[in-house]
Amino acid sequence: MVAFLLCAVFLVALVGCSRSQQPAQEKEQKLEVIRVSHQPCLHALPTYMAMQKGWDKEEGLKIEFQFYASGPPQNEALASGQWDVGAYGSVPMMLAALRYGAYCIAISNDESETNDLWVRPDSPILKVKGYNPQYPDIYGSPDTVKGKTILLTTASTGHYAVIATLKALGLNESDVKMVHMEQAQALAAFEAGQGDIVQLWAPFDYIAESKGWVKMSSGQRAGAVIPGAVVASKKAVEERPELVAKWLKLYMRGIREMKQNPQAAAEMLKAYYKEHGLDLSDRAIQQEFQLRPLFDTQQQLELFAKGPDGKSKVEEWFSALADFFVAQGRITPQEKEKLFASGFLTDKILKMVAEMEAKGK
Amino acid sequence: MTERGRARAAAQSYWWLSGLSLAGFFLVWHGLVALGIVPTTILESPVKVAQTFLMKLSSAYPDGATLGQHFKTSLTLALTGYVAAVVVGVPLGLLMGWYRTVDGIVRPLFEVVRPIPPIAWIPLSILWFGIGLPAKAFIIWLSAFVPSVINSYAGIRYTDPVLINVARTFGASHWETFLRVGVPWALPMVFTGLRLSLSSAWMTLVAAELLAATEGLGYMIQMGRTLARPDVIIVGMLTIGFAGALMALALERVEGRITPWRRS
Repeated sequence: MVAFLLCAVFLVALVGCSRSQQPAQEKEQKLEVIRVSHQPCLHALPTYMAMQKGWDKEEGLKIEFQFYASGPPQNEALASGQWDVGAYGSVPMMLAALRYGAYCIAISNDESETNDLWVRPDSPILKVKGYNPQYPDIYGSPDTVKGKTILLTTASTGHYAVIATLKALGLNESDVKMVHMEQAQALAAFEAGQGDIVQLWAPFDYIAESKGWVKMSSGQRAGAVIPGAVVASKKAVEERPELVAKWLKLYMRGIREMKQNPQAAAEMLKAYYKEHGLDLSDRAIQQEFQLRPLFDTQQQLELFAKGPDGKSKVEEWFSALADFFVAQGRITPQEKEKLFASGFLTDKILKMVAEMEAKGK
Repeated sequence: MTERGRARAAAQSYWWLSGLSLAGFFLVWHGLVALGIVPTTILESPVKVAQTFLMKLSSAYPDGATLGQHFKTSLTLALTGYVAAVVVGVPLGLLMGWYRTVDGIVRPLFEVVRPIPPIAWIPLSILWFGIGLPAKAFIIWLSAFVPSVINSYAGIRYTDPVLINVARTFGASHWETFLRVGVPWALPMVFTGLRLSLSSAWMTLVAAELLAATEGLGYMIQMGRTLARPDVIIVGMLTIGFAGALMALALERVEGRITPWRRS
């Protein structure tokens, strides 16, 4: 009898619980899942912000946040259909477009200044500045840079910044010794006294500054524009553009917030980094906002708009980067042609976002 | 059929089976991709891989060096680390297995170091040896050193006590017994250790070249990854695999000459 009563109570409790969860589950079921990939980087903040502030639920979205250490594993996951949208550097973006038909649907930020080259404070390279008057903020001269060993990650935006710097100083690759290393190894090796120059990108370059190293050049200083890319998979753009647009709207809302309230955004960025094992100083976090310009929806549409020569600013930037890759022998001229013929740079989703924003949706 | 004939037939049968096994593997691989069961974004077909292999023989595209240049760099690195590991590991393992004092001193340290993955040593390797060949060879040394020690130790540890007693009965010193009874007895296991060390050396190549490289099969694989070229990655992997297999075969031939009593 007691056993029967206990069973009955248990059953009632079970039914009661499932009924009380039903409204939440029903509501949950109405949310569309979107799989978003990001790195430990500033360009993850808009998505992180959207999740923290509940903007995703407002748009009827359930964000499945995926974290990757760098572009190559992010691209591998894209190839196996693991994510729909995300953000990363322009090099993996270009390769994703070439190999997997991915689209660049917006620019996350201008990271020209944070793809940079560093030297030790006693380096003879620092004795000369502005050797080439066209590039007045670059340290070094042909005499002080020739023959030096540069630690860098090849086939990357950092490599692009290095080549642009050498070109600005009237040098080419054969005038220096380049040693390929991943960023963390390059930082450790330079600290151990290896190499004369080290190429880094954020957030490693903030660590470089904290060690008293001096920035000798950057993409920006050498005239190389290095955009960060907001990416969507071929399948997502072609089969579910409205879903992609909803997420991009959140992303642009995050960018607006970052531009308007950088202090609050900085605190959120610090929290994001900490969650993923990075403890950056307040100064480093501030520099993420100071050195990496962001673009709102309207500014982005202008960047994607065709100019009098039929090319948009974004197309010019990516074309220059693709030319660098062709010169390095990483892609062929035919692959570059195929890439730009594919229309991977698209403002289609941005236009949908602009329309939604105008209607106040 | 004579015994020699039977041995020849058995060897032929082994080679036929191996050939068929490899052919079957490539056929299945090709079928999976050609039928669209596995998309080419995930796995390139063996035909594409073969084309890339042939292209890489003479072209530096897309990773900056030809396959021959990559192979030469990696072979130098792998052999440097391997030979250094064997030169230290085999005598150490033999001495540890024979002399309790040596075992007592070395074994605790060895057991602590043994499970640490070679890749974990990269930051220290940079600090101690810089970014050139010694630093990368050290990573390979760590990986190849362990099997050399363990197999040499095991080989000599289980020397037939009857043989030891015979040697002692005939007035051999402990050292003479070690050299003339223990070491020959251990040779088959030592060679097994040499083969395992060789395999470890090649397996660690990619990790070692993460340290700093502009050439090498490990570098080529990394570039293949960066450039989203699975065909380049597979060419690198297969080159490492075949190089390792060929060297293991050569080692087996050497073993056959040095330990002819093992042929049976």
